[in-house]
Amino acid sequence: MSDNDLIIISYEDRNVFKQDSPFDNSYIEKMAIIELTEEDMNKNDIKDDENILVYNDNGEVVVKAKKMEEGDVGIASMPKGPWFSVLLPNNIEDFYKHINAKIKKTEDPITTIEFIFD
Amino acid sequence: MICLGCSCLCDDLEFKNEENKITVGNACLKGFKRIDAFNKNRLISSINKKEASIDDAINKTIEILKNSKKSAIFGLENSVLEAQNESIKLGEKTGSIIDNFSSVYGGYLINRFLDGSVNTCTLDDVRDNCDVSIYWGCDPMSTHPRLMSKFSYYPRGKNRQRGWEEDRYTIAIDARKSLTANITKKFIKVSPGRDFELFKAFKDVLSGKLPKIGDKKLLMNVGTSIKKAKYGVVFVGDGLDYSMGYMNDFIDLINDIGFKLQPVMDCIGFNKLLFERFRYINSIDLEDKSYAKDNSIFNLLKGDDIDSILIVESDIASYLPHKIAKKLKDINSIYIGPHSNLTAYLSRINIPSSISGVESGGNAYRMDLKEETAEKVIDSEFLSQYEILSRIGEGL
Ligand code: SF4
Repeated sequence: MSDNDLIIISYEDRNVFKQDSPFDNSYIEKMAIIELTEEDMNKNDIKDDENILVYNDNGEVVVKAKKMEEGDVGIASMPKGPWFSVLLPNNIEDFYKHINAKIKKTEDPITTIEFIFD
Repeated sequence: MICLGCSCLCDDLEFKNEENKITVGNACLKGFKRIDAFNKNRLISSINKKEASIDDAINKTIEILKNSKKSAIFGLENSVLEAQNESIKLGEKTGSIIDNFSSVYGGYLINRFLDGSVNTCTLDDVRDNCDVSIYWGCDPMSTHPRLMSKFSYYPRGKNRQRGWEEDRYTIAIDARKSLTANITKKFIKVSPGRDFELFKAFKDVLSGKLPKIGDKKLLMNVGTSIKKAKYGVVFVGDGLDYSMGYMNDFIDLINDIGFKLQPVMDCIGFNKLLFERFRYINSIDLEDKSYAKDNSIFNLLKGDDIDSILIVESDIASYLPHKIAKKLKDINSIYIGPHSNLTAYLSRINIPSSISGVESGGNAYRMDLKEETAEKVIDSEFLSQYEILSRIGEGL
């Protein structure tokens, strides 16, 4: 397992509501993120709020890195939603279990919903 | 006022509309947003992304369903029973497959809950009697924000007068330190996908053996509290379902130790309705009333069996793998709901509806299957989901 290999678990963000538009900046700011431990950030030379590419065999997506308050090295978390869905396997048996992905720093902008779905 | 914001169905909301200024008492933020968003991000009636009248959108839907070789109806987890019943009637007319979110997660547990093979209780029993509650793979502080303050942790119950300070012991078991884990008295962190091993460790502790994994002292300590419980309840969410996969042993253990089990999931009301009619809770082909795994939304969108789908107030596209969600663009997809979302964005037809329990009334089941009646509190021009579905049904 290399430094940029991670297990990602998903969660429901209590500050995201069914009534929110997925195109609003406030929605994107809350949903297009990955929470990482300080150790994983340091290992990959990533700072809080920097854009990072998260990728696996199912797809890739650019989101913002956020420092996790408390967590285990090698385990990251993302809110359930359009950005996390890019990394999910097309197999119902594995669907929504934790998933494996890699990360790397990028200068690319946050992936838009239009880019994912159009 | 009853809140339909989640399956807690809080019945103590105080709604006031004075000089066009709305105030809501007692609601959590999620419940408040449901009411306050009556004039925000509303779905606009459209056909192929072009604005259209509601009549035209409904007529186009009728035409699609008439010409469809095989259609599906999905969602209604947040709808009232009247709309859910109407969707079944509509599906019987069109010979559609009917499915909901429980085919994605939680279905097995809900099935066992509904077939009576799981010990359960009402939320009022929880408030009055519960002294040990376990939150396994669920985070009610995020998803059902008043569950703990109204029922399971903070209130003084008839037989729990010293409340959370002395009378109630709470344990969260999760892969991450959730908001719920932040307030419970104990938190057991489980490695992703290792719930079954933790469950076996608990089984050892409860039968007097040393656990083979985890923080032994913590597990023994929690095990002692479980053994001493007079009225224990386990609240279970999707997190456990993803990880555990096979739930029978888990349910047996809960039954053996005399705990009650309560799924913290919103589709349970519609599941009950379907279960009573068909003995299945999802993935039902209404043409011959049969169940098949292939009838789940996941498999339907992955395969080619349906050419049209009617989705009612369920943002499924935000949760499915994106390649599968994108399939909504390739078939005749119709979205009915009060607000715009990703599923509406991918659907060919959008039909706006009223907000159930705010702009239209109806009945709904709480997570413990208590039935409540929600009244309309705001006038609006939008048709209810029940009215939209019956108009489509009549047109067929
Ligand atoms: S807990 Fe659920 S039902 Fe109660 S006010 Fe909040 S959203 Fe509404």
